[in-house]
Amino acid sequence: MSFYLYRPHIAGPSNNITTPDIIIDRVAIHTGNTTHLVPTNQLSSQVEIQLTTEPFEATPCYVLVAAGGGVLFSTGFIIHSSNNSIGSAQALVSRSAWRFSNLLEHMSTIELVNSTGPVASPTVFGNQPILELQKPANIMEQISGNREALPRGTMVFCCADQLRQTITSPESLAVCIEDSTLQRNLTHRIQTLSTELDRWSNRPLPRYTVGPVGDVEHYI
Amino acid sequence: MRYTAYAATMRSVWFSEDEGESWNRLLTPTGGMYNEARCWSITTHPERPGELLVGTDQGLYRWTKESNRFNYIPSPMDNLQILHIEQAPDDPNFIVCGTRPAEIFISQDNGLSWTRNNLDASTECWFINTPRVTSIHFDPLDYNTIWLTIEIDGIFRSLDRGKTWEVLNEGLLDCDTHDLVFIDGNNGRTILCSSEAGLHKSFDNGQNWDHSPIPEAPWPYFRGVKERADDSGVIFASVADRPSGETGILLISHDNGESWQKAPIPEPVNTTIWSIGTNPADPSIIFAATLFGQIFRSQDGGETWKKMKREMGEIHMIAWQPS
Repeated sequence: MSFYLYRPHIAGPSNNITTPDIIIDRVAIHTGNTTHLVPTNQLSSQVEIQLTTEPFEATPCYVLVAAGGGVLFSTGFIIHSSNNSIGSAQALVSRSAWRFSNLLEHMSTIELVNSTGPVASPTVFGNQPILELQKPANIMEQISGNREALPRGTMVFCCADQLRQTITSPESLAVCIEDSTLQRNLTHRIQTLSTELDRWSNRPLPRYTVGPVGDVEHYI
Repeated sequence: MRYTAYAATMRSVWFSEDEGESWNRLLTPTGGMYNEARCWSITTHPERPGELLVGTDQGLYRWTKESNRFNYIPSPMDNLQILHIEQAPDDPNFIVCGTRPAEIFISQDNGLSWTRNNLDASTECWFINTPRVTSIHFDPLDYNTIWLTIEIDGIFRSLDRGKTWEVLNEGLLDCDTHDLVFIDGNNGRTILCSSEAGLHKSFDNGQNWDHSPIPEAPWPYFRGVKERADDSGVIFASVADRPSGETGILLISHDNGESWQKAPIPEPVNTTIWSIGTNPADPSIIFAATLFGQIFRSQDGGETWKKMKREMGEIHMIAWQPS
């Protein structure tokens, strides 16, 4: 019964935008030549996430999403505590997406770039051509038997394992897919926050306000 | 007969206890629902007098006369838009909800538990991006059969109360379907389907559809079709220049959709008539509402209409039941 409502913002090559709401009820993570299914309640498009103070692993990914108008190609992160398995990972997907079909002819020119640090001055951790990872068509064929389609409700994260980072303190992370042929980029940036961090130095109790004190008309 | 009318709006559900002359809504602090909640759908059931189910984009709610408040019904639909709700005519505990994205959720225990059906509706549409359920109907001759219209994906039917579904789009000029009416008489069955491309008829229980040109309709966009709540053969159809357009008309047929005339709705109508509310408790009382908030009432089965003074924001559904 569990599902996640994914609300992608899909840019076409001529910059047209479509915004279908898509129910996702099957999430897979492909890492180390193995595909793991993870619960949909670990899937999110939040751009701020809380993590405990334990070191965590952040692996940039490209993401494939089943959609009626053609498979979506997006990006995201798999994040999990260094002590925990992939099954407990948070799967973070960008709401920005492209159509896989628009990339087919020049997939060899598309790269995944992983960076950390502030938006204005990021530090590039590494980059990797998409085709050096498990090829999208191979992943789709493995899951659906079709090299250009996925079964409805399916989202697959394909990890760039070589770009995995171990992170020990709150960090701004970004993963970008660069399409040099169509001269466009798709970046997903997330900010990790420590559960120990409190934006209130002295957190107050929640306040209560009464509102109108006289008779309120026009209601039943 | 005293009755209560309900209007599902983008600012909660409004109630009228005086035949539509004045309207009010519940106060948020005690009403159980934010009074600017976007409400898409309402339904009543003759075996549950004083009860109202409401579909919003904050979840499903039940209002009862005794509690005079909306009570939240936990369901998997909290993050979806609940666009239509129907209860089985023979069992009000059997609830069918249709959503955006186009999915069907069914409860057989009055909302305590829910099953998401394997409705293989389109997950994406070029025109509206996200297809959605536009109507749900229990077949009047067989309550185990459920019919749906989906915008934009056509007509679906389940013969086993939602366990399996089939698509019945053969002959439709356009799969932007909105509503259905079932006419069962001595000569067999005719089904009417309103769509973006006009009215369609099926004479073989949905296997095939024929476009049915209506000369009295100045535009092809048919939104709602509704039969009067008796066996009189009176049917209404709302037609507009376009969805959320600038004007519209209501057509009335006295012969099960064979011929149509323009109903004397006071003009100007400010956009498409989106919803028509009937109740078998009194087939002469009918409400109609435009998407942009006008309310019309007939007390003679649709032959004459009065525009009510009160206008609202968007009205997505209008209904009434005996008080």
